[in-house]
Amino acid sequence: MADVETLLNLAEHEAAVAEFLAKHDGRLVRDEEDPSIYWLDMRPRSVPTERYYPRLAWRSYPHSAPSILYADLIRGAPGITRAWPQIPGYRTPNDICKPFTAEGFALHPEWGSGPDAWPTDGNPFLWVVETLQYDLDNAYSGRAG
Amino acid sequence: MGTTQQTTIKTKVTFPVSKKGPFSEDYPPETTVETVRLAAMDHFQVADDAQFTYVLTHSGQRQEPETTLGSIAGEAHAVEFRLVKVITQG
Repeated sequence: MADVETLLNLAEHEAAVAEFLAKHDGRLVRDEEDPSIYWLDMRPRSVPTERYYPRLAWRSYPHSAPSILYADLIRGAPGITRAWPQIPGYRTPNDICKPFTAEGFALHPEWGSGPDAWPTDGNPFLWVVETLQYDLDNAYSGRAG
Repeated sequence: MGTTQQTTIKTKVTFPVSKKGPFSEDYPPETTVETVRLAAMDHFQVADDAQFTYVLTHSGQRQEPETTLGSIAGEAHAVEFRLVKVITQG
C-alpha cells in the first residue's frame, strides 16, 4: 500500500484523468481494496469495439512511474497475452519498455536522469494516460496473440 | 455596420507535465501545425531529442507538420491540441 501523501496526490489529479478518458470513450476506476491502483478502460480510435484494461499501480506519486500491466478486464489478472495491444515497445505480456513505466525504469537505470527522466511537475498521472491513449490511437496494430 | 470576417483561429495547446499553463495564441488559418508545435515547445520549455519527439494531436490523431489550422478547425473559431512526447526507444 502506498503512503498517505501518494494517495492524496493521486486523488487531486484523478479528476483530470477521468475527464480525459471520458472524452476518448474510456473510464477510470480506482481499486476498492488498494487505492494506489487504478484501472483504465480504453479503446483505440481506429477500432472502437476493442477494449483494453491497463492497471496502473503507483508506489510514490508523483515521484516515480507506475507499474503498468494489461488485464483482460477491470480487476482482472495480468499476464494474459490477448489482453495486450500490439504497440512498439509493449512487450506482451510482461511490460512496457518505455520511460513512463516502473518496469521501463527498472530495466534502464540510465533513464533516471537527463531527458528521459520521470517528470514530477504538473500532472504526471494524466501524462501517462495521455501517452497510453496516444499509443492506442496512433501506433496500434491489433490485439496481441 | 458590416460583418467582420474571421481572420484568426484561437489555438490552445495543453501539456500535462509542465510548470506552465496551457499555450494560447491566435493564428491565421493558413498557419501550419509545425509553427504551433515549435511555439508550444518553446512555451513549455521542451525540445526534441534523438530518442523522442514532440507531436501535436487533435481528437487523438497525430497531426502532420504541414497541415494548416484552417483545415483542422473547419468552421470552428478555435482549435485545441495536446502536445505528446513520442518515445521511440524501448
